[in-house]
Amino acid sequence: MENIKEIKEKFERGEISQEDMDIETQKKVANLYKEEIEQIRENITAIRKETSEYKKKIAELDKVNDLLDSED
Amino acid sequence: MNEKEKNEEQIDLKVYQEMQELKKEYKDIEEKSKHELEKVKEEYERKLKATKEKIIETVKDPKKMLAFIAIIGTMITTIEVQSKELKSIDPTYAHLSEPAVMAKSDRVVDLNSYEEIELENGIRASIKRDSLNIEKPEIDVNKYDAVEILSDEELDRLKDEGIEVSEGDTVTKLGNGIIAVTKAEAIKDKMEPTYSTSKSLDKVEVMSDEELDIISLENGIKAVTKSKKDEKIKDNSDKAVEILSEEEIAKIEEENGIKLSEYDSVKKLSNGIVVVTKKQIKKDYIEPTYKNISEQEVHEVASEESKQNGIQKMSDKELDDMVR
Repeated sequence: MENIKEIKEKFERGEISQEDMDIETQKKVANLYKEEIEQIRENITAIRKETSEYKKKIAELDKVNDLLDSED
Repeated sequence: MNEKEKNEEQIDLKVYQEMQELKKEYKDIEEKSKHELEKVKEEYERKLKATKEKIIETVKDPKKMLAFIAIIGTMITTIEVQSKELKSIDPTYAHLSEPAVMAKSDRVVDLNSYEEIELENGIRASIKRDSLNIEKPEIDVNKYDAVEILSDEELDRLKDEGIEVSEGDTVTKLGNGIIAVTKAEAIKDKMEPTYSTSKSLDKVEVMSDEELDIISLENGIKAVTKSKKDEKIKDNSDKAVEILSEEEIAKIEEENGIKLSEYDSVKKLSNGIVVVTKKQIKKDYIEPTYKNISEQEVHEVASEESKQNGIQKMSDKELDDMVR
């Protein structure tokens, strides 16, 4: 049986139509989309968390810098 | 299998299109987030290097070092003075029965128990010290009166979901991590929920376009009401729902600036109000933003707008008849 990922890519490229897939394959392709979307969501959350942590660190550095500057 | 049955077994092509669009949208957000992260990382590295150099320079010079120590001493004195004068300020975050955030009062805050913090929207509030541990809140899961402070990330996420939070809005992070937003205007207008919990809706009623009036409420939200000419209304309970047509969904999206996905629940109640439940909210069983409003109140709000449009206002009797 052909790999579902390959079938999905062919469908995206228009090489096969929806009618060429049986209902089970259609469901699997749809599920694959959902999984991909969920994965991207998780990536976004992780990236934003890291960004937020860096921002906090920058805010702390700013405080230290302000203190160091104020004695000039 | 005949042709009709075969077609019924097909997944609606729109589902694929929507999923492709959704994936593209998320990919764009991911790219932007990566770009933002790179920028922040660079800024951090640059500032870290500059700070290290400055510290080395300060430590090397005894004069500078003494001046630095003097500043620290002055700061400690200032904090001590302020702690005697500091008063709590009305917080942005509501549901104050759990005293994680202090309500507005003239009481002097004891800094041993409370700490003044600056919230994301710039407003200052007093927070009980022992509730500051966000990683491990001391509040019970699903307790709706327990609140927590939102991070930048969480506010950004709300923005991505199309929810613009402005000053005056109530933004509450519940004990279970769900974020609830109540727009200031909504409180004022006693509006029906924009997003509502998806409870069992056991009756479906089909209404024609002629039976409906689409109105614009004071806070700019569009709502649908039963046409007052219609006398066929028998059941006004919130449990009666109607399926929206594609045109109606398109209109809701356009007029309210929201994007509905296949996961969202969009229902029209028997009183004509359209209730949208976004996927994430539905999944997490969030409480409605606006709730507990009688049908009569909705019509009252609607009639204010109707008056402006030159449409005759409904009398109390007409409303009573409708409710019956």
